[in-house]
Amino acid sequence: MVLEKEMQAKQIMIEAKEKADTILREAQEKSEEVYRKTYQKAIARAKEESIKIKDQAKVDSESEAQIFLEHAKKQKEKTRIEAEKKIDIAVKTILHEILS
Amino acid sequence: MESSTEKILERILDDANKKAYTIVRDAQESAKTVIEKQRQSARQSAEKEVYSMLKRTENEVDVIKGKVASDIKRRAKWVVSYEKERLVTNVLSEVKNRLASLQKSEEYPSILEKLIVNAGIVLNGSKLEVVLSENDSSLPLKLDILAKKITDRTGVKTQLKVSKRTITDAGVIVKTADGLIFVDNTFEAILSRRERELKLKIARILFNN
Repeated sequence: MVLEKEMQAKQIMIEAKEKADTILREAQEKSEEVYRKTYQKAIARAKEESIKIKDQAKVDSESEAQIFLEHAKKQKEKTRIEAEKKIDIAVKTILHEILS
Repeated sequence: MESSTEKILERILDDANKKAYTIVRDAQESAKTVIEKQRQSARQSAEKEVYSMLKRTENEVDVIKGKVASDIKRRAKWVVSYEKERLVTNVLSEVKNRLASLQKSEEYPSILEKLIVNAGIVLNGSKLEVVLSENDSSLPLKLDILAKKITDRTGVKTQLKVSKRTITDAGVIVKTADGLIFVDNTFEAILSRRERELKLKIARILFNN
């Protein structure tokens, strides 16, 4: 009876070790998959972030550029108004320059 | 006795089950650790790659910003420069208009005379031919007096005569008698010859505060 039970106990231990080996083997296989997926996920997130940063930079730059251009247009208008007051003087000066 | 044997037998199986449970549980713990270590390792490896990727992104952003900034500066400069050029050209056009209308004015003959004298001086006097437009040929120009002025300025005895050839523009062309050298003092030629210098002068008047 004792021998029989010991055999059963031994069998239980063998099965437990087999199960443990399977768990560890599967874990080893799974860990490679986990590594790959974790790595890919982190890289994908970084790529997405990179695209967002670049897109935002473009938007910000365009916005700043628009402000700069508006300023230039105002400058142009100011230049025109100021210059138009002096057109007659300029014409007379040049005529004098040519004809004298 | 029977009960004691049963207990021993039960114990053998019980111990085996407990050990088996421990072996499996330890394996599960180890499995979790292996997976977690791999996850950490993947994160660390990715972190390096992510860092260099974000560095590259930073550089690209600098390039984008630099490109947009230089482009916008060029455009802004162009907006103002184009307007300045337009205003300067307007002045030159107005000068041309006023020169064209001068041809019908009372002061035109004296202007023409000045242009003849200036050309004569440049040609260093002597025998010179004055080429005028058909309309201007009939103007009462005092060529003798003009020739004397040239003589006085150059020290070379000067004679002026109106050429049989005519021009279409307002102003005058003065040639040496052999026709080899001439000074084109038509308004068109004067403007064209001095365009750059005149544009600078106009710009100074219009845009210097």
